[in-house]
Amino acid sequence: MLEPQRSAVLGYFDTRFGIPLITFDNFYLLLRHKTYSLLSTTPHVERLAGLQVHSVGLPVLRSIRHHLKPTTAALQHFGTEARRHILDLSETQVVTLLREREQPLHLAIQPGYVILRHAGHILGCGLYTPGRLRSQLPQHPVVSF
Amino acid sequence: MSTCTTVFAPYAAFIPDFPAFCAALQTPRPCCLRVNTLRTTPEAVRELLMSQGYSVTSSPIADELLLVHNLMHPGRLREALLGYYHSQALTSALVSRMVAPQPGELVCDLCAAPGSKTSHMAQLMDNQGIIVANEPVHTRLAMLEYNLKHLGISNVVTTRYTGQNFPLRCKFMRVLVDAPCSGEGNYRCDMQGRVQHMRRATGAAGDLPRLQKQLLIRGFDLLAPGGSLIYATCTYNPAENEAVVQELLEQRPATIQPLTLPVPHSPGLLQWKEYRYGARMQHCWRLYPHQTGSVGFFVASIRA
Repeated sequence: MLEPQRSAVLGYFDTRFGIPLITFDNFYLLLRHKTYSLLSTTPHVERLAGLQVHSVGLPVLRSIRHHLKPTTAALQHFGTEARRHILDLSETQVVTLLREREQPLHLAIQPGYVILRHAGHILGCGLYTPGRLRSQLPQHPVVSF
Repeated sequence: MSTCTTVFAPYAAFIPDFPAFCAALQTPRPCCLRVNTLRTTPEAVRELLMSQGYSVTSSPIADELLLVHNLMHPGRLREALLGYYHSQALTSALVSRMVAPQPGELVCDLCAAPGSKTSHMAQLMDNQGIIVANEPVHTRLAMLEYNLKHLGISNVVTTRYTGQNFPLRCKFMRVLVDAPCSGEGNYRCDMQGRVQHMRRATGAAGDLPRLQKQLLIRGFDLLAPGGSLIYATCTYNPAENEAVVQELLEQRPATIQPLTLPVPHSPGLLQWKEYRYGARMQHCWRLYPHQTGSVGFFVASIRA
């Protein structure tokens, strides 16, 4: 994907989380079936042109109606560069969120997607709406914290 | 009831110290975790696990491999959710190390699902270069893509060709053919010596060598000049191992290369029943559970 569309899409990470665009300099951005993916840049890419590809690289954003949703994979990978909209959760909150998939929560932040973090470890993506936090983490059989 | 001794009796003639082999199948093994060095360090994971009361030792074979002696369900820890490690048999991880992919290279994993070796190779390449990970079965392809995403892999493209028909127009520096096999290396025995985890009916096993030969020949044909290929199975049956490699040697100008990792192993067979194999077959490796403390494997390193 070429400029300026590339910057417009990846600019989401800067606008929402403060992850600078330079973070993605060494990646191609590709769109397939409403999913944006990052592929490490390589001189070999043209040699793959004849292959029927099923998926490419790391999915980082999904286009949902009129907005973008970051993937947990993207936030786990690039979230250490984030400067805002990071929620530090207690162990109890994490366990509840994984079990119930949502919980009441009142925060003075702009509604939208957030980075869920516990004890310095980035868990992935959550969705904050006024008074409620919803898990966007993949279903996972975590029983031990 | 199938017992270890009866199931593997046909192999007793070539498995060294057969009683020890059978005993090893009944012995509990430590859980092997491959630390995802794209996301954290072996030291950090070791400390996190030890702080939870787990007994962790480093593998002498590779820095990124940890052996955990009292962990039954590695997928249920927070660290698994974080993508800090991937549970993988020690010998399976060795196969990726034998491929030895370098950052920036173009690599093909012809039978990639569920993605343990693909993701390990991506890790060894520091997410640089490209791995084409092929898997024809849709459900297994989904599993492969989930694992790649979960571990933060950004240098893999997946394809869905039947491996033996993979297009020849793109050539690779390294190819891994981790072929579908009868999976005997995964068999374990309960305390009564009864065999567990038998995966395939014996009727299906008859078709496997044919498929394996086709896959290996196609993998070889995908090599760029001077490229290298690793052929691996997790089974002991010579018909799926030495006989497959022998077929390649007869069909193509291939050379078997010695493997150099410091791992206890046995050499490939030079003879099985009425079949004789080339002298260089001794450079192949047979990895047995009583030698490695892990899953049984066969590995051949081949050069174009």
